[in-house]
Amino acid sequence: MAKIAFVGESRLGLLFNSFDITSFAVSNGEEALNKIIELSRSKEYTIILTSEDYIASIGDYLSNRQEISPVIFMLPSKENRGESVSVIRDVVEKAVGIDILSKNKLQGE
Amino acid sequence: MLLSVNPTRMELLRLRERLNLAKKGHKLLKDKLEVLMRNFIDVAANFVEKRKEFDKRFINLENKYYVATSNYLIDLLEGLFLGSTFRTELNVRDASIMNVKYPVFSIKNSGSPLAYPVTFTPSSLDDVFTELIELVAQIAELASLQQEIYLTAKEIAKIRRRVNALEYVMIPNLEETIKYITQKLEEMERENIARLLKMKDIIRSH
Repeated sequence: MAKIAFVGESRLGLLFNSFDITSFAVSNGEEALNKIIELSRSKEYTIILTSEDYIASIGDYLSNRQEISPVIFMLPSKENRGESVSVIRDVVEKAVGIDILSKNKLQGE
Repeated sequence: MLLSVNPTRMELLRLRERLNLAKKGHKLLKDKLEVLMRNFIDVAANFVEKRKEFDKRFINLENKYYVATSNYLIDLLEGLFLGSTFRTELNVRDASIMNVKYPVFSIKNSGSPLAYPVTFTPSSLDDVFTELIELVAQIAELASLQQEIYLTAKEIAKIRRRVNALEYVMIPNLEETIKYITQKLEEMERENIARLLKMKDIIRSH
């Protein structure tokens, strides 16, 4: 059966634990990146949730990764809202040549 | 750019066949690209819309959760949340659009995540748990859409490269080479006629 993992802050991780989502507590972006790489290689999880707070550390990894599985899904945070879409936007812009997922459209501002 | 081939009739026939095939392939790929692009724009718009709503709800939920649990030490909280019977069953099935395969996730829930004693905790924590059940299902849906966007974008890039290679390199090269061989053959024909006429003149003069 496919499983979901969460890599991020420990307090939020406890909440996800109650939902049968395995949590891995990390305290900074570098730890998060290492954990995500480790989990991606293990192929144990199908979806890896993480916080947009670590975007500075894992953004490059996400834009350049070639693997299809697992899916790395970034959860928004108060400070970094919409950052994950900007990573996807870069990938899409590179591929399609047009900025379809424009920032203004996403934030609706 | 001319292809390095011998200017013979056999080669001309072969090149014409290749040109026809390249034109057919180009048309098919262009049609595929168009359908993928149309689908891609729909999926992207849908994703942006849903993600916007999800972001708003998740941030609210996160705030509520931190406020509700601010009085608890993390160890105590861990103890309170122990014993959850909630099970999240993530199912993956493969879907395909124009031969682009992507995973579609769906979530089946069972049990209850509310394992803590309700008398000890604020009621807003119950709201957090109830709302997160919905959001987890939404995460699965958004993850599918995100993956579909990624994979379609990659396929579009690949097809676009092929279409461009056919349109700007292969087809012009083949056309140029065919033109060159045709001209060369016509020239050889004319040379042959001129040679025959000359021979006829020489024979007549004797």
